[in-house]
Amino acid sequence: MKRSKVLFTVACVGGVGYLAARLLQSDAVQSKLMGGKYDDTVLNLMEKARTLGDILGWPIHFVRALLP
Amino acid sequence: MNKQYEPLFTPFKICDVEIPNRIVQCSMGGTSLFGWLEPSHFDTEAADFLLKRAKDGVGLVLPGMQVIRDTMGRKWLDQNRYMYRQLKPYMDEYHKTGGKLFIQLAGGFGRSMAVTPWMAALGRNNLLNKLASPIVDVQYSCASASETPNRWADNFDSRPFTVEEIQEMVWHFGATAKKLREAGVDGVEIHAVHEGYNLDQFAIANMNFRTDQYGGSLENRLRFANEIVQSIKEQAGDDFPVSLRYSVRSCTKGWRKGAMPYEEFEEFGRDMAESEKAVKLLQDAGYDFLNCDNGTYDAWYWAHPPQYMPDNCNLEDVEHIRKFIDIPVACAGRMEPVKAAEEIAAGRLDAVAIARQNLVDENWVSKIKAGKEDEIRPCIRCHNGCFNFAKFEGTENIQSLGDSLHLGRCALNPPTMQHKRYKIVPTRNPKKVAIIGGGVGGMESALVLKQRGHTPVIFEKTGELGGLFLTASAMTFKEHDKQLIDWYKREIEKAGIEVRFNTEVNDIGTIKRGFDEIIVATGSVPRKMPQIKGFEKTMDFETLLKDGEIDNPKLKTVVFLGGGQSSCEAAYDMVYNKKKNPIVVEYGNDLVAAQATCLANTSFLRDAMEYHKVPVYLHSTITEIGDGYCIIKTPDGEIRQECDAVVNGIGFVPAPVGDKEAHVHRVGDCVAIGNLRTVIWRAWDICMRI
Repeated sequence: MKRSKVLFTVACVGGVGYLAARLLQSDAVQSKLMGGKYDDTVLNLMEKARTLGDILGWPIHFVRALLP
Repeated sequence: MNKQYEPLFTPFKICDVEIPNRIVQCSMGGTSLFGWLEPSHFDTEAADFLLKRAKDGVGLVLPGMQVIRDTMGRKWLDQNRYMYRQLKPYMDEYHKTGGKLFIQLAGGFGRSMAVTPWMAALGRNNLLNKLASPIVDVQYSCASASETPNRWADNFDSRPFTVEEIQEMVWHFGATAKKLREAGVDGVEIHAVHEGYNLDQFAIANMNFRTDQYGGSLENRLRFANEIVQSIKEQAGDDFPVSLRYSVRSCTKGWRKGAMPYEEFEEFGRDMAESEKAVKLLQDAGYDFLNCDNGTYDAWYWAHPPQYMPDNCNLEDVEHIRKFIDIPVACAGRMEPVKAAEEIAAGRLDAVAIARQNLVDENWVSKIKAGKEDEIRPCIRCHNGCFNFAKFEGTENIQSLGDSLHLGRCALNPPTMQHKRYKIVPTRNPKKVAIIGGGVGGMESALVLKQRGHTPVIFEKTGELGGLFLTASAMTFKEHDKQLIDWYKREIEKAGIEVRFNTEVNDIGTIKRGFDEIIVATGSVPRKMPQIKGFEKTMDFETLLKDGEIDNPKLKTVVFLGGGQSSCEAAYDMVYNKKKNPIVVEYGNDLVAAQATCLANTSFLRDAMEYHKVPVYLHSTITEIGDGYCIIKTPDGEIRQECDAVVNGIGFVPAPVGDKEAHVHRVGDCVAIGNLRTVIWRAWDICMRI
């Protein structure tokens, strides 16, 4: 019972996260975010997030290399 | 296809492998199939890029260099079984194109490692280096034949490799090649007795002071490279092709000093006489192909020629060395396809190695085949997106972290090596977009918007498209920049984009009503320093270059106020092509002291100023400008300099029109002063989201 609850919660969080990411990437939200006034702020944040993502990827690459 | 290109599309053989044509995509750092400096992995971004190159028709693709031992994580390349499992199906897919792929395996950087400030700090401190060594061992990554000074960081010497370390590396080259062959890779290229990388440091007498079997005679200095090919042949098979990246001549005058293409000098590295013997030894050791150019990190502009170097700059040397061996030879370095085809047809060359053009235009080979050469977007050798390692006096490699992690992108073509980030997605909501300014930013914005389905209209205040880039491209040696402007003009016309010439927009309100969105791409204006007495007498770059004042016979001695890239380029054009007398006055401690420009470009300009004896005043400024003279304030006192003009080279300031508001976006230098990369990438960033 406990295990199924955890799995259900993980699935919900994952699903919501996925939908949020898709929403962020959509035309409508992107054009709202980049409305003109905040172009610089949004682009700077995105650049920082990309670099952070790259660095977070390193341990994943390293662990994958250990797979048989 | 134009007949003159036909020799490029004939097959040739490396060992027993037939390469379908003579076009070799040279390896470029960052386009590495197993990642760049991070722990090795199958890199899907590079895989996508390389497959597209093969589909375009490149005969032999060499992905970016792959250090045999990971810089981050320190695993050997042959230890990652998961990566090879992913490689196998990719190679099956790749071979459907008919192209071949060799992986470039590198013996490391040695003293050429472009250490950043934090790497230099680790490398200089034994304890810190030891603590960090399970993840990154800077001293190992920079180890060389002997204790030699790092190219990038002052007071940081490479340590010598031990014999055990060399032999361990040699074995892993063979083991990796075996795994690559099993995964379907067609061959390997050893990187490199070339460009002053680690194996080249072993090969060059002035960089190798060893007294063991890896130092002394030429045979000993080439032993490391030769043992590698033997290990590969032993483990992967005699018939597995092994290419070698090779510099015919080092073109190096000393530590951190390169030679101009027209200079007579005493060679510090490998000269032609030694090279004639070396290629024979390398062939006898088992190498099947030499992929050649010239240069070292100390003379970097030979291996990564910027716009100041002549086209086909290494061809004569490469053709000379080919006479001493029987294996096929390719030549790299600003190679023109037409010239390469001529040389191949004449039997003087076997293949042409082209690198950066592959980043700029993903269909350049197909366009040649289709007889549409005028549609090829030209590479301008700026290195701003693909290779912007930067350094000036007193700094290490000051490239940003994001750029260090992502070499091999392109200033002019954002989707290269970032195809998920930059892509054309048709809009569901077509809009009419006004673009104020017909410079590169405005034109790129218009092209992206048009491809997405919007209707852009360009408002250009003059009668010509090009904006500030018309001035930047006016110098004699900037023929590729001029071609780029022509390319933009043709593309704008072909796309049917409306351009309203001689229409200046000073008030956004006047055009707001007819458009859904507005893009301001109005560029910049020269910075002013009215505190300098007589500053109003300065000449701007537009007058000097675009309006042709540089050719005025009365203009002989010109003082540049500011030693940035624009000043140095103009000064070089004046002294070399126009035979005039430029003088450069720079407030900082070095010329072109900027983060964004590659050392290959900036070191050429610095070396050129020295070679041509251009007076350069560092830590100096101009305090007064009068008729026919200026006063230069140097650390040693004031100098009165007679001159015909003082050029304002202190930079530019953004000149946007209107305020930041909803539905008004800014692109290019009117946001912040940058280069073509910042202009073009920003245009995409904005226009993909409109």
